[in-house]
Amino acid sequence: MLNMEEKGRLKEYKYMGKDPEECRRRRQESSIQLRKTKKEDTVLKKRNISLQADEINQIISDQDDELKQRQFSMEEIFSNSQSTDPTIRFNAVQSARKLLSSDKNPPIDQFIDAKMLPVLVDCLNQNDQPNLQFEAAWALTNIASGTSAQTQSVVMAGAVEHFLRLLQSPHQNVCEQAVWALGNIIGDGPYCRDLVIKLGVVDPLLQFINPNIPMPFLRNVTWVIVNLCRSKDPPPPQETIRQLLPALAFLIQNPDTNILVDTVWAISYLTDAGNNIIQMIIDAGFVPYLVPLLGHSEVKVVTAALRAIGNIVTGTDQQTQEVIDKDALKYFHALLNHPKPKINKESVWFLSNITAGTKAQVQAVIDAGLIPQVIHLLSRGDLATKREAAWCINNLSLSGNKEQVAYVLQQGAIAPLCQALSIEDPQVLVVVLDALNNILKLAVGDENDLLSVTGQIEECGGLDKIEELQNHRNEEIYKLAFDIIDKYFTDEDDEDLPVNISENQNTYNFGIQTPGTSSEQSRFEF
Amino acid sequence: MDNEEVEFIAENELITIIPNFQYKTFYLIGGDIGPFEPSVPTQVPLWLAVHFRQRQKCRIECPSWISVEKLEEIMNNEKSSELFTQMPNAHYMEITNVLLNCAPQDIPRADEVKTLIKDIWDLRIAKLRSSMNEFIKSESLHAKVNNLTLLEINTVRNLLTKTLKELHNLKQHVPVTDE
Amino acid sequence: MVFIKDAKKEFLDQIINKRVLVFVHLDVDALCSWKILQHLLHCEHILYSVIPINSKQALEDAYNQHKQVANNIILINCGATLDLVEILQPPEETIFYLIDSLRPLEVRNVYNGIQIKIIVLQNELGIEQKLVPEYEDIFDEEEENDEENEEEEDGDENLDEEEPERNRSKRKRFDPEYLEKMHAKREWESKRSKILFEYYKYTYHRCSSSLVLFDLAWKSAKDNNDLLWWSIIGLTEQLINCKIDRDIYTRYVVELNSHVLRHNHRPAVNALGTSNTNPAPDDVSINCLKISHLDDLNMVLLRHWSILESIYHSIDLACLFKMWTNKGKKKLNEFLADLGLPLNECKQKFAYMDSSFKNDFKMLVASENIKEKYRYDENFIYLSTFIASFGYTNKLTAFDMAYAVEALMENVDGEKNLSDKFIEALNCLNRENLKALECGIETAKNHLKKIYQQIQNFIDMNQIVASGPFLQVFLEEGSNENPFFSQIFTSKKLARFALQSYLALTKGKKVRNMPLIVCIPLNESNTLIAGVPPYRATNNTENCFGLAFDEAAEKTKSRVNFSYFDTSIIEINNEDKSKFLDALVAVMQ
Repeated sequence: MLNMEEKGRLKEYKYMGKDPEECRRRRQESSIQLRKTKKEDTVLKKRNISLQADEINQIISDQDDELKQRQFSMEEIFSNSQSTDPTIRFNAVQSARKLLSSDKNPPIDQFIDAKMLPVLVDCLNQNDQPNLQFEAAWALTNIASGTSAQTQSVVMAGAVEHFLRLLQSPHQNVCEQAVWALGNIIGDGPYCRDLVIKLGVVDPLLQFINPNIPMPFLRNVTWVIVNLCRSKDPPPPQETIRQLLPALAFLIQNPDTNILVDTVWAISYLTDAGNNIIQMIIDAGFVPYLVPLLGHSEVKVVTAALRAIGNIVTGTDQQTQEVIDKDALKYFHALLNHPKPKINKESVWFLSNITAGTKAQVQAVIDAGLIPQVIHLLSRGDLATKREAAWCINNLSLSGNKEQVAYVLQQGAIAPLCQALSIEDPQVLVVVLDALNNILKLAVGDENDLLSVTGQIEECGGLDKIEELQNHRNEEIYKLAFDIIDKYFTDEDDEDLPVNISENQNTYNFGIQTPGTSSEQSRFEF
Repeated sequence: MDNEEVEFIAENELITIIPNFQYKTFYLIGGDIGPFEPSVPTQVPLWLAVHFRQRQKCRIECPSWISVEKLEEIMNNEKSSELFTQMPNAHYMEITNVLLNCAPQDIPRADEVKTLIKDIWDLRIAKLRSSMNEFIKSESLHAKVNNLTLLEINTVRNLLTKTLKELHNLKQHVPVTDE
Repeated sequence: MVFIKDAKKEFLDQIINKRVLVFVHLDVDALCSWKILQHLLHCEHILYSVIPINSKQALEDAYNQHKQVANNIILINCGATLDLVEILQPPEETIFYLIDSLRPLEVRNVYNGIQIKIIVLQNELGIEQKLVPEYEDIFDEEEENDEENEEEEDGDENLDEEEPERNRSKRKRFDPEYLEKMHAKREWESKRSKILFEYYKYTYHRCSSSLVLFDLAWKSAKDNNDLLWWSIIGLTEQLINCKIDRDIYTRYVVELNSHVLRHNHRPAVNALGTSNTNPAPDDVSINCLKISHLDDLNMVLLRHWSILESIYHSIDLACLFKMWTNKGKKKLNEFLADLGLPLNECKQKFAYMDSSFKNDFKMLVASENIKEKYRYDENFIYLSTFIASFGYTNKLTAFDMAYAVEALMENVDGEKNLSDKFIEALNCLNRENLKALECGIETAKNHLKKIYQQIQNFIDMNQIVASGPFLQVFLEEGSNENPFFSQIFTSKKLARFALQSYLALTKGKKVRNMPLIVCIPLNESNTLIAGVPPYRATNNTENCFGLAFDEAAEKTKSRVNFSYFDTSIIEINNEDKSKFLDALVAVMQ
């Protein structure tokens, strides 16, 4: 019961803010009072102090709905929602729904603990009361939007079958809410996803994709499809994917950006689930649609497309070639220059997978003129981008031929690589040391090449850093560092340097002088 | 008695101030003071006037004799008279000194006033010295001097008494050494 | 709005019979303000403790050390731009009185009302109020009540942007009313952040604190010539350090001149009605301070220097002649010849110059043909100021005083701590202390010479360069003079001098509207960076560097210390310097 004093307090609470002068004073008077007020409020809630409906109306007839709804106790909602009077029942369910939809953190567990779920599921059965079905479905949707345990409790209450049945309801708002609820359940993870698939969600869901469907509804359907594609451990059944592909092919052409973004994310999830599925995507002809999206004006679209395409080039060399053939590389000049560091990172990651490919694929990256930008990001990007850039150079040093590696060195890769040795990230250190090792290995054949590379490493302070890394506690790192020092930097101390070194210090021939390649091409100025 | 003590006594002289505040009468051993009304002249002891003036609670109304004309007249009189003339106030030196230090802004032509007061003082001290000289030479037993102020007396007191004492000593000893 | 409406009733009368703690920033205006306030405290027999402050940290430390002393705390030129309640966590009974020329005021201070009282010039109350955003636009009572919600929402939004897919595997459907409310809230929030951005965009100064306190003294019938003189010096410092521009300065000079006239004319009638009907000016004792208005030559410390030296070290004139070039030096000689001044005379101390030359000089510089030939106007060569005399010493202008006092505070010779400098500078303001004053003027000359020499170096070595949207200049590491140049007012003086001299020598048009930063290495690990706004004849006082520095530091996660109340001066870790400056270019574009 609310006594007079509390009424006064409520009013005060409510009208705070109407008189600024007074408010300010209150704020000053100390936050303690505010905290006290808040505490009293929660105590009131915990005690489940209930109010009679007429009392409430009397007190707060002029106040907004929200407050009125909050005053209903869980018990009252629980008992009223089982009432035989349809109006009382509807009002109770609706107030339950309002409680669940008017806060970022609705009291889901309180509803579960109050055993409201069976009551709400039962409401889904009332085909003669579509509004009741709608409100109950909405309430359950929001309960299923919580933690995994909360979602599970909706499944356990047997709601899934009811929702699937409601997909056939003649009332669109009920259908739509059922779709939404199922989306939340599917989104919980592979177990629920596969359960709902087994119960036959795909066919009725796809039937909604038709030209007459309103845009908000289509967005929801698309989102459910995204959830169906999500999770790769395990990926959704191949049969399901096969069913979804034509829908995705239709949706990727939709002019609505939200739908486009969701569709591309769905594809990116699928391409993350193994080479077989990548192949299905390629065969379904998605690549020509995806590649131009790299130049889309919306960052959200570009991010999703970059991920989808990036996943494809993690596949076989053949699959990678499909992407290169669609002229994907021409977009990367802009992407590497993108103001968002995240896009830079993903782009370099993409390129690192290409430079891990065939020599022709490496050459494609070089020909697209992207190496200088990668090197720039290696020295100026954020940490994650630097790491990818190190991988990119490392992969190239392994997959590329002498000329290709020489080209990279000519673009000034050594100094940024050596600078990256200051990053305190073991993975980066391994990758960079490995790259340096590969580069040195390639230079071994030619005395001048080797001197040039070792000279550069020494000049930019790289040698000092490698020497230091011999003391690193990570075994892999100190071994790599030790190897490099041992192989390429120690004997110089013992042996006299070749006499002609001074002459050739700045110029050296890198690469094999094979017939057919002019010496012009393989001669690099440092 | 030193000069500070003389000045202390002088600070009990009443002086007119024009207060800029309101306060009821208050009662001191020396007498009742106040009440104070803004812009209404009232008389307070010099020390209190100084206190108020320093806190900018009043303006000091100069005594009428602290004016260039009046002081010039006094000086001329002093010059032409063989005897000491009567000063406008028994503490003329101390009062002007205190006022010049604490509120020069309130004194018209303060620098001239300062010079005149100093001149009058010098004149009178010179007179005092020469008469003392004659008094000792003449070996008189007593002399009568009118119109000297306390501070003036105080300035010569030590000198005079000491000198007389020394002379007395010398006189007593001369015959002995002669013999 | 909680500006004090009646400073006497709501401030002075409130602290009577209470003990006060006064924090005074180390700048000339604050010192002059303190001298005025000190007089008022003496008048009312108020016990006080005074502590000089030069940085935010110093304020915090001093407050924590002395907070037991008093519950009434007066801050002069320090702290009005900080959220004091948040930073100092004062007990409820503590009251802060703020007198500060720096703007923008922290809105939480303005709207505090109980613990924080801000004193501004009474007749500028309306303008000051208009400058601050409306309470309703920036504070939301409901929001204060559920801060938890707020934080979570922020988190959600971040996720939304970064990783949309992860956040959206499950979605709530919200009530339309709730969404509408949230939408309105978000709209209100974005409006608020826009308002606050506009409000905090520039740092600038308003009326000097010494003027605010003089106004209070006047209204409490406690003003006199000494207080007036201090308030004039405080105002003058604002012009010297470009805290206010010439127009505003001139307006205040006119205002102060009415006080000068009032105090330096004796009332015609004294109470007894005798004589004095027509008082001569020398009526007042020589020991009284006398102030008069003067259109003086715009030459620094002229009465204590030779004409030649004074011109060299006056920023406007040095830039007019481009003094750092041979051509410039020749042009100056030509100028002096045109005025008919023998070079020998110009090298003599101005004070000892033949008086006929002295008088002619002042007239001739404003003659039509000279003005035309050297392309300046009267406003350039003359500067409205006040001159004071007392005792039998030289006359002093307010500029001489301000330069001298500031030099003592910014002096780095000798092991002087904050309090030593504070006391020395205060001594210099006491007119009885001629020795301190002389020392101040000599130090000021010395400082001006160092600045001039440094500018010469910059120009000879072409060290002032454009970097994107601003100019920058670096001092060499390890130079002996770096500690001197890193003093807050000196660093800015150097920056302004560098900017103006660069503009005088360059023909480029783009750079005319550029601000400038100067980087001064402090030690092995830190560098001081000070920024000054683009040079303009008027309205050159709004400084955008505070916000730009903050943003660049945020972006690059640089270790930046906003040590000073003036946020356009920062200390940065050397390792972060280059990325910070890169980011600064991006931010300012």
